[in-house]
Formats: sequence, C-alpha cells, structure tokens
Amino acid sequence: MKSGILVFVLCLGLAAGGSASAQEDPLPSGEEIIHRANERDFGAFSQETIHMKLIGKDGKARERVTRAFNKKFGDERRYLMVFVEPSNVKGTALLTYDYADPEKDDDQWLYLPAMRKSRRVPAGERGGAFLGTDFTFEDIKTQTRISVEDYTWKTLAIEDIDGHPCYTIEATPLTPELAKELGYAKVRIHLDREQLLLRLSEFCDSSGEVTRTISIRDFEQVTGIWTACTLEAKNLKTGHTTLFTVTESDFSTEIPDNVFSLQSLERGLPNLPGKP
Amino acid sequence: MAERNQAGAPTPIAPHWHPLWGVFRVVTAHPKKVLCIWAALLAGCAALIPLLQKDSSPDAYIPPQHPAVLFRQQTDQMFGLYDPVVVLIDTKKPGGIFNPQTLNLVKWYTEQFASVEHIDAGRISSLFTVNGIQGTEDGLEVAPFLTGIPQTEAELAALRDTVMDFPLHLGTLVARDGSATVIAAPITDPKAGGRVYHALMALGERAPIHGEDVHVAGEAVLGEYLGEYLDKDAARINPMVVIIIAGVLFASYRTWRGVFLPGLSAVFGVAVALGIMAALRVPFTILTNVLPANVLALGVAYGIHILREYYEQTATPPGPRLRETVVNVMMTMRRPILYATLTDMVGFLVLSFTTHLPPMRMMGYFAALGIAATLTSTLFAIPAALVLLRVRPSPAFHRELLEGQHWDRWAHMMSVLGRAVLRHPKAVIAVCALVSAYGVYGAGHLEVNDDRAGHFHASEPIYQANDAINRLMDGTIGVDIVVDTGAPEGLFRPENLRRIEALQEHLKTIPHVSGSVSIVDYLKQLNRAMNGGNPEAFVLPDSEELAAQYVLTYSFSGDAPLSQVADSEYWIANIHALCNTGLFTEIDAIKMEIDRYLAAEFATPDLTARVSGRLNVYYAWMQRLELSHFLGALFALLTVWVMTSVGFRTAVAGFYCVIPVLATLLAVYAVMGLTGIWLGIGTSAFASIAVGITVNFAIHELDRILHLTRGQGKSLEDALRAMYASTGRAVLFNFLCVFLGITTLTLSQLPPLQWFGILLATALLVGFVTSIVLLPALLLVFRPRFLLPVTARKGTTG
Repeated sequence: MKSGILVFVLCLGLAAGGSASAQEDPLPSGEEIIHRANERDFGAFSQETIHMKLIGKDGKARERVTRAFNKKFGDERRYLMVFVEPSNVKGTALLTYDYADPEKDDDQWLYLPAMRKSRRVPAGERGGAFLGTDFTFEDIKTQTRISVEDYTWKTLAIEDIDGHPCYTIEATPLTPELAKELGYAKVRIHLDREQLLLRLSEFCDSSGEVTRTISIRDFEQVTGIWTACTLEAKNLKTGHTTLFTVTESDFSTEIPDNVFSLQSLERGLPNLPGKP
Repeated sequence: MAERNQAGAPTPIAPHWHPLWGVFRVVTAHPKKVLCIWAALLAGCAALIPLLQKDSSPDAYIPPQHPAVLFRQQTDQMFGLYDPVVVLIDTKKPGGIFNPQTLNLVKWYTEQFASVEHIDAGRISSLFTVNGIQGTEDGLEVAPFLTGIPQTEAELAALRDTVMDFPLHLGTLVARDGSATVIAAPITDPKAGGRVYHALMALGERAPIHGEDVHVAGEAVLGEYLGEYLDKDAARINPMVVIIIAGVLFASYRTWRGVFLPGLSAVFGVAVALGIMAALRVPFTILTNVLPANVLALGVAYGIHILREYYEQTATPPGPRLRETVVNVMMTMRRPILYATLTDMVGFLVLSFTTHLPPMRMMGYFAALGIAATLTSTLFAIPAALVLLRVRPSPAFHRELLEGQHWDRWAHMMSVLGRAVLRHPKAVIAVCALVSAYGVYGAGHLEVNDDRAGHFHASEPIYQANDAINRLMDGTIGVDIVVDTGAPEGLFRPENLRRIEALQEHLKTIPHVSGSVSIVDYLKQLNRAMNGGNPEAFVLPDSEELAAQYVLTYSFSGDAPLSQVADSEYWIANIHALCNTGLFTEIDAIKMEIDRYLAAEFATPDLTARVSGRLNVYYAWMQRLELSHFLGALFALLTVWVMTSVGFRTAVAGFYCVIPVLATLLAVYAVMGLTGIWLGIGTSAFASIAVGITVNFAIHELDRILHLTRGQGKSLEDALRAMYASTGRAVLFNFLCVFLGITTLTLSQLPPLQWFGILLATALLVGFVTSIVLLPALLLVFRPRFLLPVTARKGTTG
C-alpha cells in the first residue's frame, strides 16, 4: 500500500503544498515533475466529511456519508473512517494502520455497531474496488504521494484540463506483475502546471484504451493547504460513476491519539472532534 | 392446365394477346443480351455471398425484442452476468481434486487462461482466483482458496475442509463431491468463441495431465462452435446436392443441356437468395443452412418440365422454326411452372408468417426469394439458351415414346403402378385412411421437445463436456430469479431475506435445479465468519442493521461478487440457480413450477419476483413452437387449396389436390409418433414446406387427367392409364430430384438438420406415393363431376 500513483489527491484533506513555477520548453521530465509534486505538506492530521455518491449506468444513485480522520504517528499514518449515513450502517467504523515499512501489510479493523464488536478485516487488493466505489484501494491509500520507483515516467505534452494548462505525464508500471496488481497497464496523469495539483487521471488497459478516469475539481485552500472538494471516478467499461464531495475539511483541530486505537473502537468510539 | 394434342403431346400455341408471349419473343430475339444480364446478376450476387455473416448464437433463435431476451439482457447488465467459457477438470483419484497433481493442473490452466486471446483475463474464476470468506479468531479473512500448491496430506486435508465447507461455490466452482473443478471466464469478443474453444482444446495437448479428464465447454463457445459446423455442413452438403441432382437430371434426359440448364437456373436462385441475404446483413444461421439444398432441389424441377416440353416438341417433326418452338414451349409451360413456383413459395412464406423464430422466418423469406429468382431464370435464361443451342433430341423423348408405342423402363414402372391402383382403388383408400387415422393419433401425441446439447452428436467433445458439467457440477443452464423489494436497501430487511431463503429452499425441491446462490448465502457466510467460523452461525443476521453492516464489511475486501446477487442499491436481488438439463420439457416444468411458486409467495406489493436467465429464453423459444407449426401447416393447406381451386376453377378439385397432401402430413406425424421423433426447433419447419412441394405432384397429375377427360372426352380409366406413363413419369423424376436433394441434409453433422432432412424427405416420399396412388383412387371411387366435359355435366343430375 506504499506505492502508487496520485489519484486521490486531497480526498482525506491533504493538499498540494508549494506551488510550481511554470516551466518553458523543453518539457521537464516526468520524474522531476512528480518529485516536485511530492514536495508538499500533507498536514500532520486532518478531518473532513465525505459524501459518497455511487451512480449506476441507469442513473440510480446510492449515497453514503462518512467522517474521515487521519493522523501521522511518526512514519506511519492512521486513518479512521466512520459512517454517518445511511442509518443502517451509522457508527460503523474502519480503522487502518498504514505502516512505513513497505513490506508490512496494513492492519485494519472494522467496528460493527449492530454486533458491538470490532473485527480484523483484510486489506483489499491494491487494484480492488474500495467499498464498491469506482475508486481503488490504491487510489484511497496513496493519497497525494506518488511512488516514483514503481513507474517509468514520460512527459508527453502540456494540455488544457478544465481551463488549466497541465503537464500530461504517462506512467507505466515497471513490471507486468505490478500492472496486474494495480489493474491497469498505463496511466496518464494531468498535473496543474501552476500548483502541480492533479486534475485528471486516465487509466488504460493493455490495448491503450482508457477504462477508468478520475477527475478532481473545485480546489480550495484550507488553512493554506490546497484541498479538492470534488472527486469523480468513472468506470468507462461499466458506466458506473462515483462522486466524492468533500466538505468540512479541517487541518487545524487536533485529533487525540486514542481516536485511532482499537480499544476506543471497541468501546464504541470516543467523542470525535468536529461534527459527527 | 396445358393444351395438348391427341397423342398427349402439346399443341403449339401462340396466344399473341398474352403479355408473356411478347416477353418470350423479346427474350428469344436477344438471347445473348439476356444471358449476359443473367450472368452479370449471377456474378454480382455470388460475389456478395462471402460477405454473409454467420450467427449461431442461442439468441439468434428468438426475436431480439422478445420480453424474455430483453429481460435477460437487463438482468445480465444489472448484475454483470455473462456466458462463460469453461474448462472442467475431473478426476477419479481418491480424495478428488485435492492432490498436488490435479491442483497443479488447475493452476496451470488458470495461468494459461490469461494468455488465451479474447479471454477476459481479469475475470478468471478458479480455486486460485476466487475468494473464500472465512472466519478467524479475531476477524474475517477474504482471500483466494489457493495461492500455492499444498504438498502435505495435512495441507491437502485442510484445503479440502476449507473448500468443501464453503457452500457458495459448491456445484459451481467445485463439484459437491470434490471430484471436479472448473476454470471459467467471460470472453471479450462473442464472435471469437470458436477460436477460444480451439485454443483451449490445444492447451490440452501440453497440459500437465496425470489421469484427469479435461473438458472444454460453456455457452460462450457453444454458439460459435456450432457456427463452425455450418461451414463444414455447407462444404459437405452443397456439392453432394449438386452431384445428386446432376445425376438425376442426366438420367432424366441423358443430355448435358438437360443437366446444365435446370441446374444453373437453380444455382442462380441460390446465389440471389444468399447474395441478397449478405447485402441486407441477414445472418446465416443453422436453419438457413437448409436453404441452398431446398432451392436447388426445388428449382431444377421447373427446368425439368420446360425441357420435357422442349424435347417433346422438338421430337415431333416437322416443327416450326426453333425460336417459335421455344416460345411455344414457354407459353405451354408457363402456367404449370408458375403454379409450381407459387405453391413452393407458399410453403416457405407461410412458414415465415407463422413461425416465431427469426432464423426460420428468414429461411422462409429467402428460400421463397430464391425460388422466385429460379423462376425468373427459368423463364428468361433457359429460353435464351435454348435458341442458341442446336436442336438435339433426347434419347428419353423419341417419337415412339410420345406416340405410346414404346415406353422406357420408368414409364413402364409407372404404368404397372397405375394398373394396380385401377384394380384396387378402395384398398388404396382404406390403407391411406388407416395411416391417416394413425397420423391423427400421432399428431395428438407429438412430443414438443428439443435439447440444446442435442445440436451436437454425442461423440463430439463439446457434447461430452456439456454432459460432464451437468453430471458433476450444478449444471449448464442458468436461471436467474430477480426479486424486487420495492425500495433501496430493501434487501437488508430480514423478512425479505427469509422469503428469498424460502424460495431457495423450494428451488432445491424442483427436479434438475441443482443449486442456487443469492445474497442470503453471502450474509449467512458472513455471519458465520464474523462469529469465528462457527457452523451454527450459518444463519441470516437478525436485523437490518447487521445485514447492511455485513455487506459493508464485505465491500472492504475489494471483492465484487455481491454485484452478481444484488444491485448497487440493494433494492433488487438476483437468485442465480443452475439446471443440469437441456431438455425443453424439463425446462418447461422448471419454469412452470418457479412461476407457480412466485405467484403464490411473491405476489405482494412489497416483494415481487420474475424469472430471467438462459432458461427463460429457452422456455420462450418453445412456447409457440407447437402452435406455429400446426398453424403453418393449416395455412399452407388452406392456401394451396385456394390456389388449386382457382387454378382448376372448382373448389372440389382443390380438395382433391389437398387430400393427398393432408394424408402425407398425417403419415409423417404417424412416423413421428411411432418413432418418438420430437417436434423441435429443426423438425418443426418441415410441414408447411412439405405442403408447398408435394401439392405440385397432385397439380401436375390432375391437370393432365382433366385435359384427357374433360378436354378429350376420354374415360377416367383411359385417362389415368395415359397419365401414369407420361405425366407420372415426369412427376417421378421431379420427385426424385427434390427427394434426393433434400435427402442430402441427412448428411449434415447437425442432428436438427438431419431430422429436418429426414422428415421432409419422408414427407416427399409419402407425398409422391399418395399423389400417385391416392388421388387417382379417390377419383375412381368418387368420380367427381368436374372431370366430366362441360356438355356431359349439363346432361347429368348429380
């Protein structure tokens, strides 16, 4: 869960830190752009509300609302996602320990209020669908970090995305095994030339056909950190779409450490900071 | 219907007022131009034939807008269902598949699947890819059953326990007795099924097999594999038809023009039919595979009659100039040929109008088009060719024969038959009545049935694979029951889940329904897993909240099989069951029982259910088969009765033409009832086609008898004696051409076409016999008034 491509930028309230100055010809290398994009302040902790809207090909939509918290614990990062809606899953919580050691798998526990128990649950495959959405576990976990070592990079062009000039960079997984694990053969990412914010990712299969896209819009600065408010993943094969709307992003309210403990989870969760 | 002289030979006629006379004059005045146009049309249509597209998919048999098809598509789309290609590995080793060698074979095939072109590598299902849901001491584990090959007895036993303790995949992934397992995947291109099948079969040659049996099957390849049969059949049957018909034509006239002129006219008809099919992008299906043989066999008959008239007229010196002779020949034969064409077309068109199966409808339309094209060629190209060819007599039509001084062996044979009929007309009627009575009984006991797997011979590997899957696994035919709870997340409500659970329990009681999977099974398994794997916890969660939270829990695994049993809103459920039979009678019983249960238990506003899936489509195939078959036969009989009544200007004569045809149908039903031949997809087409073809025999005979009695004042007995030697002989050759042509269909590798060929050939044989014996016998016994000259009829009272 340590490597991957940036697609879920700012979903959990992380941000693109320093801005990048516009580069003139020749185009900077892909590695250089990614390196600069990775030089950002993710914040030591954050919380926000995520409205998940899963829209089927037939237009039928299903909505969930979660509160998401994350905090750095040294080199590791811990996440807590608590479901607020619908009512039948209210209080269900997922606690994840994302270890710094890339060889060590994440630990994950799920608290089910209907059972009043927490159970260890397996971490999904990197390319697997996250909660039945069109985002993958890789999308969620990598957040803004881009693993330079997992790909070969090639800057293709500067293209206009949603009115913003963007670097178009093609990333190719280093090995076929890695590509299989991630679920795609190539990805074209479009990074804002000014702020190096990721605005669009296009995932391609082995024939070069784009099978999935993630579009990131409505950036805001929260406490000086760029935050994306709208993330839209589209599965072009199934016609399914997932829309994440991020609200109430907060990078300033301290989150107690015990929020991220298994004991707290089993006791029925501590009083969470911010809105429920 | 034709004018003839005292010897029975035609009288040259030239009705200058008739538009066709003018047409034949023009044709014979510009024969080379006519033949050039004919050749250009033939070449043009023939050039289109390679563009024909095959469609051997099961869905080709039913209208694309049929509710069963649309609902299945909707269900497949909603739940991401697909027809897979399947490799079945079964072993008789102790412990079944749970040994290192067999598991290694499963692993090998799983890896090789990904490398086969057109297989969706991301959706391969096998023990190495499909996740199990297991409870652990402190949580839940969702992981593939296998990643490596267990080697020790303990590891193998543990694997066996794990797999056999996971009910969701028993019968679908692993045989319930552990003796077999499958590797399955969807294919990315539905038209590549044949190539995928052969690629997988080729893998078997280098697979690490150690005593296991490996089968390749699945709906994804079945249709395309069937398509390959079409090519083989066409390559086998069509040359055979040509050779046989050419042989009969040569025996009939013993001249090359007697072979080539009727033969090429029929080839023209086939080329036009297939060429226009290709141009209109009408797919070539198993049923349209019979089209060339039918059009060839029927089409040459028109040319046979034209040439008979030509040889008769040119054998009687001193004749008029050749061009006048040819025009006279065409004018003489125009009506019988036209009637023969129309009745042949009626058979096919009635089939088209009454069948509910699109490929059969297309076969009817395009066969009728081919016959019309053959008629066009017969009316234009044959006279054009005849005026360009120097007159050469046929050894079969010398003066002595025409003047009745000498009969060849064929005429002699028919004459002997005629004498027997003349002596025992009542016995003939009695025998035919008995056979017909049995036919009525047989028709009442016809079994409407078919078998999808029966489209292949039992010796075929794909047939055996299908059989093995039905025997070892839960089956090959899917039935999906779509349950609508009426509201989002309605599937989490315990009362709804319990009703689905009860439905699944009921499915277990229906014969041939081997197993089913629904969201209920996943929730039970999740409940068990979340309770430490306790078998007693394999029950439904007791609250809506717990059900919802289990589903949410499962979605953290990244696995997506719940999408096959529930829609994204958990509003609609799919209960996927498998049936281990392809017999339509059994499919019918399954569908009826499920419908009955759903009507009783799911007819509430808050919970409704409908049957979908392949089973429902197969059920829809057969629903109107019996009705459309008998309607087709009835309409065909009525139409030929009307046509012959108009042609002979009396409804009674129409009845006399139809009676032998009716007796023919009843006799074929008797054969079907006696031998247990099903009225199925392939065999159902025979009746209306047989009516159209066999009525021609009666028309030709009655036309000649009328001419001799009403026109020449001969007694009925004398007229019949003359008819047997001349027209009877021609009808015999006509019959032989069509019969032997149709008989070639029995050489098909596809059992439905074989049965169609057998039944149609039987109908032609019986039709020929009833026409040649029953019709004269009826005339002799009942002596209808329409046979009398007009003057004699005025003088009689009854």
